[in-house]
This record gives sequence, C-alpha cells and structure tokens, in this order.
Amino acid sequence: MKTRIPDTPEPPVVPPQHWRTLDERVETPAARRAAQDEFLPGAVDISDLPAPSELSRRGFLGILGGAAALAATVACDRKAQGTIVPYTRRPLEVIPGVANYYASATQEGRRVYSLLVKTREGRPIHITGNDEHPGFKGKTGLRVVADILRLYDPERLRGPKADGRSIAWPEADRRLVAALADAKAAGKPVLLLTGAVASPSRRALLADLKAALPTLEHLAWEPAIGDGALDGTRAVFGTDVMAVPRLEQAKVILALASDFLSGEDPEAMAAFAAQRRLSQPGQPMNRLWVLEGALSLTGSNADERIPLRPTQLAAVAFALAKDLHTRHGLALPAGVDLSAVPGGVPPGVDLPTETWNRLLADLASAGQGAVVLCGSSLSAEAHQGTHLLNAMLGSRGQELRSADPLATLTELTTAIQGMAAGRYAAAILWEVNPAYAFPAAQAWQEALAKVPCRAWIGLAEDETAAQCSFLLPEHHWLEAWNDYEDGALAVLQQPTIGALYDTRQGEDTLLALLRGLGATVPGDYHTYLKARWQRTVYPSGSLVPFERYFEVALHDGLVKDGQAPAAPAFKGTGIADAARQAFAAQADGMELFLHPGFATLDGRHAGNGWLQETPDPVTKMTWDNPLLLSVADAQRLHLHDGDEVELALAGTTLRLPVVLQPGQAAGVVSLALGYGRTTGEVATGKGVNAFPLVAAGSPAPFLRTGLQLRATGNTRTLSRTQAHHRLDGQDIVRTFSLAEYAQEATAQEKAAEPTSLYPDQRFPNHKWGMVIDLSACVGCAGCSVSCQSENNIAVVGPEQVAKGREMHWIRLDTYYEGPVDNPTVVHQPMLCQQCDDAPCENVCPVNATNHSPEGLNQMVYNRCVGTRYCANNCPYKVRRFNFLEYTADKTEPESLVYNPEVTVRPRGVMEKCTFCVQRIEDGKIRAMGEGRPLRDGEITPACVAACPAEAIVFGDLKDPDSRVSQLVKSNRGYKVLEELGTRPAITYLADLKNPALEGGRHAK
Amino acid sequence: MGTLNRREILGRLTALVAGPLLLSRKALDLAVRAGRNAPPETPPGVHPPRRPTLAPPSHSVPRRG
Repeated sequence: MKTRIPDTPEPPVVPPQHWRTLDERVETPAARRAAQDEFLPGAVDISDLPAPSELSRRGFLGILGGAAALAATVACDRKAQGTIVPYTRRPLEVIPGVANYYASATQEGRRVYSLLVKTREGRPIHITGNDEHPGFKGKTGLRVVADILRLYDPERLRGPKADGRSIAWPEADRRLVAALADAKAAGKPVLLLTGAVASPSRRALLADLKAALPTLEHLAWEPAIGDGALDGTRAVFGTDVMAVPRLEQAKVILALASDFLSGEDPEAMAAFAAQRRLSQPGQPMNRLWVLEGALSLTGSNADERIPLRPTQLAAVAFALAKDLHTRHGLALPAGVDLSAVPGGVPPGVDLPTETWNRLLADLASAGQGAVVLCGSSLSAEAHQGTHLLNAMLGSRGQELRSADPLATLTELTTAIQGMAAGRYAAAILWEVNPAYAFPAAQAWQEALAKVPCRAWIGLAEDETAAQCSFLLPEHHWLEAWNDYEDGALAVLQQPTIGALYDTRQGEDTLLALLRGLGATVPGDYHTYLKARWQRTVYPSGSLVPFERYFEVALHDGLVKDGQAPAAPAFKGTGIADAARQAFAAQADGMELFLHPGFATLDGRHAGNGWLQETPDPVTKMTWDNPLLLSVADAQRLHLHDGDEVELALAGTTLRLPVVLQPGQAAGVVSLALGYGRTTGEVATGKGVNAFPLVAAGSPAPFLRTGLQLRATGNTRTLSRTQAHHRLDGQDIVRTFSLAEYAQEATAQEKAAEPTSLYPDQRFPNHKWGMVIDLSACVGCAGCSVSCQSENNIAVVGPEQVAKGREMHWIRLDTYYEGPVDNPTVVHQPMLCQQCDDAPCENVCPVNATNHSPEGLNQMVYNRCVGTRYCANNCPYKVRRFNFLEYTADKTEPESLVYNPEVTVRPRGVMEKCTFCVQRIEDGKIRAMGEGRPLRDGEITPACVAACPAEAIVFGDLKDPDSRVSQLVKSNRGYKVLEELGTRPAITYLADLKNPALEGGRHAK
Repeated sequence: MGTLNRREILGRLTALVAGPLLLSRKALDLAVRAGRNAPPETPPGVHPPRRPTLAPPSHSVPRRG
C-alpha cells in the first residue's frame, strides 16, 4: 500500500536550488514522487506484521464468551499484580509530583561537563547544562544528555564477580588486596589502566595508591584522542596541554579537519553562534574557514570550505606560517626556523592561489582575533604547525590548559609487551576497553592472559571484562561523587540517586585496596573528597563554616577556584624538523581518514539507543558506520549508495556499505570509530570496528594510505534518513551571503498571508510561537536528543528507520546547494509548526488532534484510532505514527527513565511535537502559584533548553515585548510553506554566510 | 451441523472439556489454598528483587523544583 496523490503528468523538471540527495539534485521522477508521497515506500507496508488469524465471527464470539466467564472467575481472586504503597517515611527531598534538580558533573575524555539533573520521585529523568556555569549557561553536549540511559541499562552488572561467580565485596577486596600485597612483596609491577584523569581528588587518590603500592604503573588512555594531537602538543610545549577554543572574540577561525561544532563542546558552539545572529546588515560576523577531507559538521557550517587530503594539512599549516611571516610580516617565535619551507601553496595541494591569498590576508588582518584549530585525527606535524600559527598570530581564540598526561598507543604497546613478557603481577582496568579499542586486540588479549590477576571496573560487561577474573561493578556517574578542574572553576559531581544495585564507586574500590595495603584513609570517597576540599579548595580564613561552604558548592555545582594556571610557553625547537616531515609526506592512492563516531565516540556509547538512532548530522546514517567516499571516486569505482565494498589495509579486511557524500575530497574515504562492538544487546553487530585500521606507532594513527577497495557485488539496506520526509514546495530554506542580506533587508517585502476561508483563531491569553535562526543553528542534533529524553520518544531500531518509521519529533533536514564536490550546506530543524489553520486537524475523524486556545496543535492520544489521515495531510511531514508496539515491553529499570509528565504512546497512535506542553503548563502553574504573570523566557521546551547555539527561541506571540515577538519581525524571517495557508507558528530566520571578500577582509 | 468439519467439532469438544476443567481447578484452588489471609506475593528473601530499589542519594544537596 502506498499513499500517493492522483497521478498527474510529470511537471517540467526544474532542478531545485537546494537539494538533499543526489537524486533530488537532478530531480529524477523518483525524487519528485518522494516529495509528493507522505510516507516512504514500505513505511505503511504492514506485510511484515503477523498475519491476522482466520477467526470466524462465530469463533470470535465463542472465545469472547469463554474469556468473559474466565475473567469473572479470576476476578473473584484477590490476587493483585502489585500494591501501590504510599511513603511511610517520605524522604525529605522527595515531594511527589514535584521535580528536584541536582547540580552535578561528568567527564568525557578530557572534557568536563557541569550539569543540572532533573529527578522525579527519586529518579533522574533529564539532563541539561548547569545554568550556574559561566560558559555552559545551561547547555551541554548531546552525548551527556543521552548518557542517562546507561544508568538504567538492564545489562549493568549488579554485583561483584570472581571467576564468573557472584561474590561479596569484602571477599573481592580480600582477594584483590592479597594479589596486590604479593606483587608489592615481590617487587613486581601492577598496571592500572584508566581513562583521562580530570578530577583532582581522583588524582590525589591515585597518588596515595602509588605511595602505598610503589610498583603501581598508571596509564591514562583515551582511544578517541589521536597520538598526533598528544605528540604534537608535547613537542611544542614540552608537556601535555589541552587547547580549549575561546571563540567569543574570534573574527576568523581556520579549522584544519577540526570538528569543534560537532556537539561535544557547547561553549565553543555558543561562542561561534553568538556572532552569527545578525539582526541588521553591517553587524560584525565571524568567518569560518575549513580545510578538511571528509565533510564534517563544522565544514558544513563553513563560510569558506576547501576539500583537501588530510595528509596535506600539515604542509598547508607550515606554508601558511611561512607566508604570514614573509608576506604579512608576522614575527616567528624564538627558535623557529622555516627557511626550508617553500612559500605559497604547497606542491600537490589543490588550492587556487587566489583562495590562498584571501586566506592569508584574512588571518593577517584579524591578527589576535584569528585562531587555528586542528583536529585530533591529524598528524603530530599538523598540530605543531597549528600551534606555531596561533603563536605567530598571538591568538586570543583559544586557551591552553595543562592537562594530565595521556598514554599514546606507543606507550600502551610497550605496556602490552611487558604484559606478554610476564612483567606484571596484576592489572586493573578501569573504565577502559582495550580488548575492543586497541588496534591489535588479539595481541592485547594474548598479553592480558599472561597477567595472573586481572581486575575490571566498569558498568556493564564488555569485551575487556570477558578476560578478567575480578569484575567490580561501579556506580554510574549519576550515583557517584567526584570533582573536576575546569579552568578556574572547581566543579562538583554529586549523586542524584542512591545506588540502584550492589555496585561501588571506582574510587571506593581503590580506597578499599589502600586500606588493605595498610594505609590510613577515610571510609568512603565522599569523605575523602570532602577532606581534600577542606584542605585545598576552601579559602583559608573564610568566615563561612566549611560545611556551609561545601553545601553551597554542591547546590551550585561549582566554585571559582582562583585563577587558571598559566599557559605553558611555546618552544620553537623541533619546528624545522616537523616542517620538513610535513612536506616529505606523500600520499598516493586513496587515503583513509578515521574519526571518532558522532554517536559512539570510541565505542563507549555504542549501547545507547538514543544516540545510535540519532541521525549523524552530516551523513544522516543511523545504527551504522558506512564508508564515506566522494561522488567522483564512486563514479570511478562504479559504486552507489549501499553497495558493499571490501576494504583491505595492512592485513585487515572489513566489509561495509558505502555512502556517497557530497563535499568529500576526491581520493579520501572516511570511517567512524566506535562501532562493531561484540558485547551488549544494542551495540552488537551495529557497523564495523574500525580500530584495527588505526596505525599504532605512527605520528598520525588515524590517517592511512595504501588501502584497497573492492566491490563485493552485494547491496545493503541503509538506515539513513537523508531522503526521508522531503517537503514538497518552494523556498523551504533561505541562505544569504552578507551582500545578499544587505539587499534583501532593504528590498524585502513581506508577502501577504493567503486568504483563509476559516474564521480566525482566537487566543485569549497566550499564543505560543517559536523562531529558529538557521544562521545560528549548526545542526548538531542536540535538540533532537533532548526532545527524545523529555518526551519519552521510542527507539525503533535500524530496520524500522530504513522504512522511514523513525519517531523523532524534531529532525534536522540538511540541504545542499551548489557543486556536488564542494556544496554549501544548510541545516534546518523541522518540527510540528503548530499551524493555526492546520491541515491535520480538519481530517481527523475522531477529533484527536485539535487546536488549543493557546495556539497549540494538540494530540489526544487516547482518542487516536490511527487512521494516519493527519500525517497524510501534514505538508511538513512531522507527524510520527507508532507502527509497532515500541514501549509496552519496557520494564524496570528501562522504564525508570520515562518522564512521568508525558504519556507513553502505544502502537497505533499518532504523535508529534507538543512544544513541550508539560513545561508550558508547569510554568503557568508556577507563575500562578507565585501570583505573577509569566516572564518572557521562563518557559523553555526541551529543544530550546538544549540548543548550545541558542538558535531556537520560544515565547508568547501575544506579548509584543517578548523576544520571540521581536524576532518574528526580523528582516531574515520567513515561514516554511507559507503559501499553503497553514499559518505556522514557527518563523525561520534565513541562514547567513560570510565568504571572504576580495582582499580578504572580514566583515567589521 | 452437517456443514461442520471434523476440526471444528474437535475444537468445540476441547472447549467443552477444558472450560469446566479449568474453572473447577480455579474454584478448588480458591477453596482449599492454605493461608488464605496471607499476602499472595512471593515472600521477600526467597528470590532476589528484580526491580531496583530507588533510594535518595546521601549527602547530596538538591535544588527545589
């Protein structure tokens, strides 16, 4: 069955200015039909459902009668499914029906996130950024928002185990301490492998453990941070340094394969977007240059993007430095010698001289307002060149922070060789998964097998846990204590719920080991952390008692802890050698660019259904990591989307599907890390593990050459949403250069709204509306993940996504414009437009969808009978139908994540965005309780609250002074498909691009 | 009745036998079950709890909703 408008002669084919797929670009008849169809082919095909039984009417009545008799009999029994018991002793913090918020924090890699966690009846249900944090301002990364799912992961280990059998904690401690004491007595090393250490209290604890166990060797390892970034930084600064973008003052940003807008750095995204929200032409706007091989989310937001081979970027950085010195007079730092570097565009780099000159002039004129950012996948030389450029510019666009050392793959390989040689008496593996993420996983497993005592600390059993004798389950970070350094801030992590299972914080396990080894330490990590704060953070001579000081710090989630440590000095020695190596690097044939997965990072989030099902912001792939290649390469190799290839490189062979990615540099293929896990119900079998392709020991382990591609002849079905929900209309996205904007702002005449036969709607109190600024939106999908968390949106799985049955209420439509090898890109969040003359409302036979007196197009779920007429009639294709039962089988602990203020929808029911009506009602009730009118900005739907770029503004259109009312009048404003007379409540502001003008001057 | 095939007759016969059997077993169970006043749920401690217990965090400081 397929829904289609009546056949009409094919209209003349006019290629659209903005296109989403290669089919749309040339406007094939199939693409045209896809715009007219309401559902994808197969979406409404129910042939995969169980066949209805051939029950006759007579038989049905017989069974009904029998069932009624049985039900009556069973009802005589007083057995119940359960008993609802009120609190006999209510916890002081819990008021039924009222949310509590806890300031807390977590880390991902070296990055620290200060957070606010919403709990209901003792359950954490939603995460946002901490509004007290001066940088985050209530925003955070989307993977952190989704990480709440891991708290309720049914696969979490619920108690300690030894050799596959459950044991008690004292027994586990006793046996592990005995092994460590033996190692200490024998003078044999003990390996402790952890993730990055960003917590000063954890660092102090590790130092205490080292003092009690002198043979301890600690390595911190982050698989997603390439050795190139670590080695390059050490070569330049002599120590480990973290470069944090500070883009508030940045006028010109040059990103060398740096994806700083990918959603994990809310501060950078906010600062970048703050300079893109222009209300009038002539206002200052930053300019983003991106040089990269694979189109990244950052590249898709570039004003000037140049596709290049990633191996050439190191030479480009040094050549830029040379030309900035010789042609623009920028001084070289002391000790830097670039005499061997040729000026101009490096040989072999496909970059027009005119563009090169514009880039140089742009950087030179911005001076301290320019910043160069380098991606972690690039080589050590590229990072050295980047630091050199920033030193020459005196850039204020980044902050250099000292960081705890991380182990490179070379250092880890040395440790593995030691394990294989029988050097270690014990190994403790804490929040790391080398059996999956170390490139030579087989070598790791063989080496680990030779360590007599192997302990694992983590949440759910993974590939590494399978090889360990002691499994010590730890708290989720929402159950645990910790603290972090974040520049000049000391950030606190506090539990938001008591431990769900018989688990223990990893630090408490270390404390138990310390006690067993004879050290005198506090009884738990909370006490340890508090004592350290009293010693080192609490201001001496303070008039506030420490208990009160700590309580306020917990309430706020952070305190200002003096000044950030001074930035390390740039050292120029070694630059000349790096430049020579950069120019010596020659890439022949295809080049492979490996990068952390948008959803999975290094595989740690692979079991997260929300993240797996969130379409990658660029490729729109879900649940998989296909090989991305350029259209030119695909034509040369006769490959199409979904074709399976065999990728062979240095003895590793992978079979995976390909996706043709506009904007991909010719000769470059790219692949995301973090997929292809072999443990966990959700993660297993999703994509391929690309870590075996990482080159341990190379200065650029994530850049590979010499690969072979061979088509296998098979085709895979892609769970990719790029072609889903195509809108049928004109002028869906608007994008202007600054010059065009200046013209539009003066010449623009607002088109009159189409006349309606329906009477005008009346809104006595409020009329809710939204404005989405396409210029500020970077397309990170943070709104989508936050919406999923807030509104109990179901995960449907890759097979259903392939049929177009994904359930997201807000999606990110990505449009391309221009040549397929380097198009400009616009991201458009698309959600229910809450139309005043809503086409969906008129066709509902049971009035399940109707208009509220506040302008909301609302759904009454228990009225909906699932005709799908409303979805058929929605021109924005934002209604989502529960084709299958996605929620009924959810039990605790999975169901604990549900927001009790939002109905969980069953099969057969239509659903869609509500503007977070529960938050609107909460705000109104709160204001009424306090006897005051609603304040502008007080109500924030989940997407608004989550958007780091502050691209979405929500408010009351009846309040002429509200921000949304002001923005609706913007000279960039327009409504999507306005010509249909739907009168949507969402206004979009046109996207702006700031390409370099002749002479390379950025907009003042 | 003449139109009924053998399968339908078997189905009806099964229902005729199974219905009273199940009902009588249920009735017997209600009548003679020991400890009728005891709660019907499995006593705690026999099986480990499958549902996690929710407890508020210790020492944390919330911000009131």
